[in-house]
Amino acid sequence: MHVDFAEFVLARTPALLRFAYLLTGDRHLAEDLTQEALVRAHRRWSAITADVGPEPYVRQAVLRQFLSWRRRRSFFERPAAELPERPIPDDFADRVAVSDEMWSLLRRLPRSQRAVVVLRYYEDLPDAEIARLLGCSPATVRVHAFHALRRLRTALTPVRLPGGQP
Amino acid sequence: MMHEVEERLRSALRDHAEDAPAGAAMLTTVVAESGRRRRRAVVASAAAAVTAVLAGAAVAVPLLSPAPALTVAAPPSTAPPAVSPPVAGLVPADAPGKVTFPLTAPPKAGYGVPSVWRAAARPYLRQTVQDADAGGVMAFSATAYPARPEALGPSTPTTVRGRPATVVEWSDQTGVQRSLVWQEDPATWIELRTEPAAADPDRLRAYAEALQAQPSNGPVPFTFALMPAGWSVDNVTPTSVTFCPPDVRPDQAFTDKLAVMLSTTAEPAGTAVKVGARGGWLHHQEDSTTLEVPLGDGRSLVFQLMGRATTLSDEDLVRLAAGTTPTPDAEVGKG
Repeated sequence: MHVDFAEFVLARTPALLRFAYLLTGDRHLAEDLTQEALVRAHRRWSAITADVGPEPYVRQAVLRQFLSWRRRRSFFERPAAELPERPIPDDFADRVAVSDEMWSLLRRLPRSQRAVVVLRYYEDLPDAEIARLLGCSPATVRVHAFHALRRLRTALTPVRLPGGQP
Repeated sequence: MMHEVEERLRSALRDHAEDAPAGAAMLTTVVAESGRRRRRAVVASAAAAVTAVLAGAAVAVPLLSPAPALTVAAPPSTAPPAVSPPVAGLVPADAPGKVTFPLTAPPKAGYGVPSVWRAAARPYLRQTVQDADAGGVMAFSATAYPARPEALGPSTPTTVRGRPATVVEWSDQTGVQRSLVWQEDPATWIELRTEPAAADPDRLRAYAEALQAQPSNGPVPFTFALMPAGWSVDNVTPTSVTFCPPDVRPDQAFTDKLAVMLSTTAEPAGTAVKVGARGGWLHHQEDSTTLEVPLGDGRSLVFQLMGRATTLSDEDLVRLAAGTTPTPDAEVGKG
């Protein structure tokens, strides 16, 4: 099936950037990784479209760059400092604050754990597919997920429930 | 609790996915970059063919040359403008022995230990402060320029440190940004910003007023005996130094540069090479080359060439690595 490169880029760039951004937590790096993956795809477009199709190829290229390149990012883009003590949020700010706290914690996870988290909880992929993308066993995926969730659970501020009980 | 964490995780990922960049110019950028690489591959193939003909019988060059002679490649008579010029070997290093910012951060309670770096070829000072309004940690960052930095948006006149100044406002993908710009002395302009969100002008002015009028120094992580001829050092932090080729604009990224880092020792990958008295691993990937030199204490020196910096030869990369030494100030990088 013929797929036009320009049409593919225009249609799929937003989704690819969201994927890369969730992996990296950094807009510039997300653009870098996506651009690099698309450049590689462009240079072998005919072979890719005749094989697995462009979307799986580009997504895997983004993922592999994220995992294997030592530090493509700038030195400014590093994990945030430890969050200070602060009161449990309330009112309209609750949801935003909770989401931001989780986002901050996600950025501190090791890259392999972050990749598993994004693939499992944003892309909704089964562990077997995540294992195929990462080049590891499903058991390893489960171990990464377990460690990531444990770290998040330990660090998260309890959410205030209706009635004021955490 | 685990189920709750998973739900919060899904929700945070959904929320923050919307913060991803739009990538409006992605197609143009990708096609241009792909074309540039194709042209570079053609030039490289032609150069290799010419070299093979001139050399007659091919002679393998050992990765570690015993003599520190410079390798000077004859430049091609014509080359596309987008292609990096050939690297004319290595020269004695002109890397900065120290990093100095013209002012000193205020030693205030609640403020973090300031960092002094070289960033995008400019002296840079950064200091964090706990800030509930900013949702956690906010950082003041000041950059020194030899001339007035280009304004990114409309300016409002003000005064700071007894000098005329301007508050500049602009918007980017993260929202409204604001900086305070003033001329500290005839040869020094300072631009002060905050991360991750803009601070109000009064807060910027208060921090600027608290800066002390004496230089402050930052650590330098490595000493270098050699560096690529014509390249410059554009970033120095406790964990990394980047060398920028002459046709690459200095910025804060590692792309298209040689990045030297201190990292935890990874699994060996690539080809074993001798680097001075040490062993190392040279690993080529599609658009990058990495040389890892384990130091024997769980740390490694890592030399990473990316993009346009891959014009540096393997032999020169190994020679540069052999002349690189970590200082006691070097820190292992993360990420």
